[in-house]
Amino acid sequence: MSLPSRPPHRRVRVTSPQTRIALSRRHRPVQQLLPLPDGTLDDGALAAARATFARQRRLALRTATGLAALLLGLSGLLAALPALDRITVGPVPASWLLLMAASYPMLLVIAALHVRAAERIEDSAAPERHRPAVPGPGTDAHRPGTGTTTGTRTGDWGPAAGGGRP
Amino acid sequence: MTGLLAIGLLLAASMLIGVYGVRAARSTPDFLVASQEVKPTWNALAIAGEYVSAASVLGLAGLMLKHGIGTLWYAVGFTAGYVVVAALVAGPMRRSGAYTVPDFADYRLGSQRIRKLCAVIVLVIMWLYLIPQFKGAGVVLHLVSGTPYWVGVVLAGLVVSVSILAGGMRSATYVQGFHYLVKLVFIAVPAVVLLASAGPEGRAEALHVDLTAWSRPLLDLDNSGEPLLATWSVLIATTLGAAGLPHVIMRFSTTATARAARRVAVWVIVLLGLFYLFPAVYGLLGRVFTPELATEGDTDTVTVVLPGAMLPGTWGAVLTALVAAGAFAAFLSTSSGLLLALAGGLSHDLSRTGATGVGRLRLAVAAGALVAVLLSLPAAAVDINVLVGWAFAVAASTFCPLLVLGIWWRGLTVAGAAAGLVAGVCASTGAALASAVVDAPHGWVVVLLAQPAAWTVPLAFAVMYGVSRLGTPPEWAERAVLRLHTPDDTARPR
Repeated sequence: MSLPSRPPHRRVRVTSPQTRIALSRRHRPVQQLLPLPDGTLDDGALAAARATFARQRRLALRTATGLAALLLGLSGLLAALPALDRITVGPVPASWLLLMAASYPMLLVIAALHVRAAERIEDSAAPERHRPAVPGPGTDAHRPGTGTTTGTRTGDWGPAAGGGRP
Repeated sequence: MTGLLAIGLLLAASMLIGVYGVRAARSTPDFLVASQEVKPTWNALAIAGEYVSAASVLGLAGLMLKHGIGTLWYAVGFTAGYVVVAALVAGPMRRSGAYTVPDFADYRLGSQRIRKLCAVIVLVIMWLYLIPQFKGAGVVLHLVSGTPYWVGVVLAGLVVSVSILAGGMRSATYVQGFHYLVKLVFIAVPAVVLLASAGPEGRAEALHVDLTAWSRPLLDLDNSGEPLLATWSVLIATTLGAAGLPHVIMRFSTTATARAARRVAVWVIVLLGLFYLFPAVYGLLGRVFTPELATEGDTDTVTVVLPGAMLPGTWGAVLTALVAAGAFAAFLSTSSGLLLALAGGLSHDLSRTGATGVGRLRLAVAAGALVAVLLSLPAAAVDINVLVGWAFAVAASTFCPLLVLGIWWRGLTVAGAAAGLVAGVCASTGAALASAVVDAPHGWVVVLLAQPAAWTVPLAFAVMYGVSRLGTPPEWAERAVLRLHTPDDTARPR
């Protein structure tokens, strides 16, 4: 992973791998596809990844529907019931209160419920993926070690093993 | 003069925090995304600080004075956008490893042309968004010191570009976090004081529901007579636009993991919901105490003018200074985020020259700021929230479909994405321009031109989906999608 071979008399700038990757992004050839994080992609891992994706997508669809129902429903309610303008809660008209203050907690609840459900899906997916059909020795070694996903962009190291690419 | 002093102090404090963070900003990742070392709490504060712009601090109360209570739907949409971000975008985007939307398009579709197309759209959105920020700076400086409008605009451009050139994103994170607190306190405290000093009659009058459209909790654009359609169109633009704004998306690559990215988005909802309780106070009291702004003069000034109009003397001056500093913080942090995203697009995705990373990025910052200043000079008469609304509509009609379909549907193809992006950007900017030029008859046509998201967003989704279905995605597309949803970072060593 050293710098591309340069004549020894040239000054070599010493940078971290991340920095180098970021700086050389535009020299990258056409997009190189990453392998799934496990490096190897056996049928078991692929099926697990597909199942996780399907569950996350169903959840995302549910949350999006809920959000649309809240926003369009609340505004529709205020449009349909002008009487809410005349009812007051303390000194404030009920319709104003719904718009000004009540919508934010509801948005927060929708988002928090989604995040909790999405994390549960991930938690239940993680053990499955750690039981590959053939536990090859390289399974963990190929795992990109850090969260800096830039470092996993294999394109900068030339062809990487296992990536299904065009 | 107290106002000038407050703004000066704010600038000095921002610079100090910026310098504190500057030492590590020596590489492009530091410069652009702070090398992903930013703590989640600071990240949420910084995202909220960057997001709460002049549109929220000045524009919301101003447009409310003009159009009524229904303006607050903008604020609801601005916040609801983070539900979409948390649910659909943040986690997968973080896993893709992409810094920016053009990066993501490149990752997902493997096409340099899409990257360039996205970069052009980034420029359109960022400039549309920067103009109202600079306008806000010009107006506020004019109000507190009497300098001509252009002085404030030019000064704003200078301050923002110099602070970015010195620090980049790493320092910007702390500065923006600080700015969120400044904005919240400097808008909330005067709001509470003003409410108290308005007296029982003032408060009752502010909360009085009369029979005009002003009191209806729906957004009636230009008296179109179609308030529900207009409200929905604004909601679609702001909610989906937030999920496609390049500088917002860029922020999530500074989180440590995909999981953290989602949680940060939820915290942002808390911070935004808290902040948006207060601009309404200025709109309501402004209607009672400064009604003349609605007929003559610039309604965007109401937040700054109101304290002086209600409380003459020292207290009024002090509160005016606080609000002015809050407004300045709003425009400073938002425009530095916008300018960084703009510069990223210019230097990484569009340019072909061989200059090295940080130097090129700095050049792009200066160039981007210059263009924004030039565009802002003739924009003094345009409402802040109208321009920001357009920026959201363009983002909602371009990057939102790209990200949502790219993340959740493996069938997206290069041709489909390109066709959808072009259709979305042409339709939304075209409609916005037409509404400024053409004097349309009243009714739904006005709404669909002035706030086009209600039809341009479905159009962009449909074109992207339809054209993609005509072709076949490459074999690796499924893995590119699956990778975005595979929990790799949950088990990673810390």
